[in-house]
Amino acid sequence: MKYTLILALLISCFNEKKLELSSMPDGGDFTIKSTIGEYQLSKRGPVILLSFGYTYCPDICPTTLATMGNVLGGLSKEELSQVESLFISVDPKRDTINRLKEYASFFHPKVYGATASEEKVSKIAKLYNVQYSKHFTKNQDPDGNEYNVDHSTQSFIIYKGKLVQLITYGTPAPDIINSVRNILKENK
Amino acid sequence: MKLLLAVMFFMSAQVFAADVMLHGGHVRFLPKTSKVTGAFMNLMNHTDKDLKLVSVKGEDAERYELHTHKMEEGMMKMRQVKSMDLKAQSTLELKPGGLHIMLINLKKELVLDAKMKMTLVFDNGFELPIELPVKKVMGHMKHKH
Repeated sequence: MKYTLILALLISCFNEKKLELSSMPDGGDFTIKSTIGEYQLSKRGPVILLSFGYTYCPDICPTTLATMGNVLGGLSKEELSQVESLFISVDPKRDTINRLKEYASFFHPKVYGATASEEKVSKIAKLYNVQYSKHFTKNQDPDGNEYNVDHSTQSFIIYKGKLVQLITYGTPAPDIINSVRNILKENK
Repeated sequence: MKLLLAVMFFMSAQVFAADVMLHGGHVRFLPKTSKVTGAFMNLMNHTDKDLKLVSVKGEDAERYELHTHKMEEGMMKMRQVKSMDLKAQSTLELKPGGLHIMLINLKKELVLDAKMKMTLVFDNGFELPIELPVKKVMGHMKHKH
């Protein structure tokens, strides 16, 4: 009986842990090599639309970044001077800074790319509860350079280095623009 | 002879076009560095028979694969599928974040507004040649009802 109770307790703990996945992560400041040089989150912005992905991503990342591009493009000149977007590649093996430069700026001149060593990227991703893992299809050589990366799809709004809002995948650009405007207004 | 062949091709395409119709559709425009992209479209099956899209042929990429997305363990996972169901008298939607055709290892650069040819192959042997424009895909927009 005792053991059943302990087991039940353990299971419920585990379940709660699982639920936490979609809740707000702690976030945190970091520095990373970016397409505009060394990038420290808390020194930029002040509003940063942060997302994670990889440039070989055929669908999810370009949709997210197109949305970010629409958000930046939808802001006034004054607002835009305080907002930018950072795309962190979780695939440093293939995504060089040069490659990221062309990729990120394609969506908007203020979308910047960044990446770092596997360890550093993993540390940053953990701060934001972003998960990712390589996946090889049957047509792909497991030792080769062709693979997909499964990854979390949420993005984040950062203000002065602090995580202030989680953006779920599929949030339309006008909603994100509203959030950004509110953050700018509150901190005027 | 060439003319006759062209007429025959046109007629066969016409007959089939009445059965399965392509609505809209585009190939996603991506930066020059991209070796992969996606093709999206709506297909309408006007017949009383269920069909399956089983493969795609084309000259612009090394491989054309049928893919879908599923959300699992907090990650969006893109996976290859063997076929896509196109039920009788209904529409199959290939859209960002869902089912799509993936063009892998593009042989040439994507050019905005250029047309890309490919042929959809169905389980009953029907082949539907289509042309899709290369378009810049917008991000998430408000749904209009």
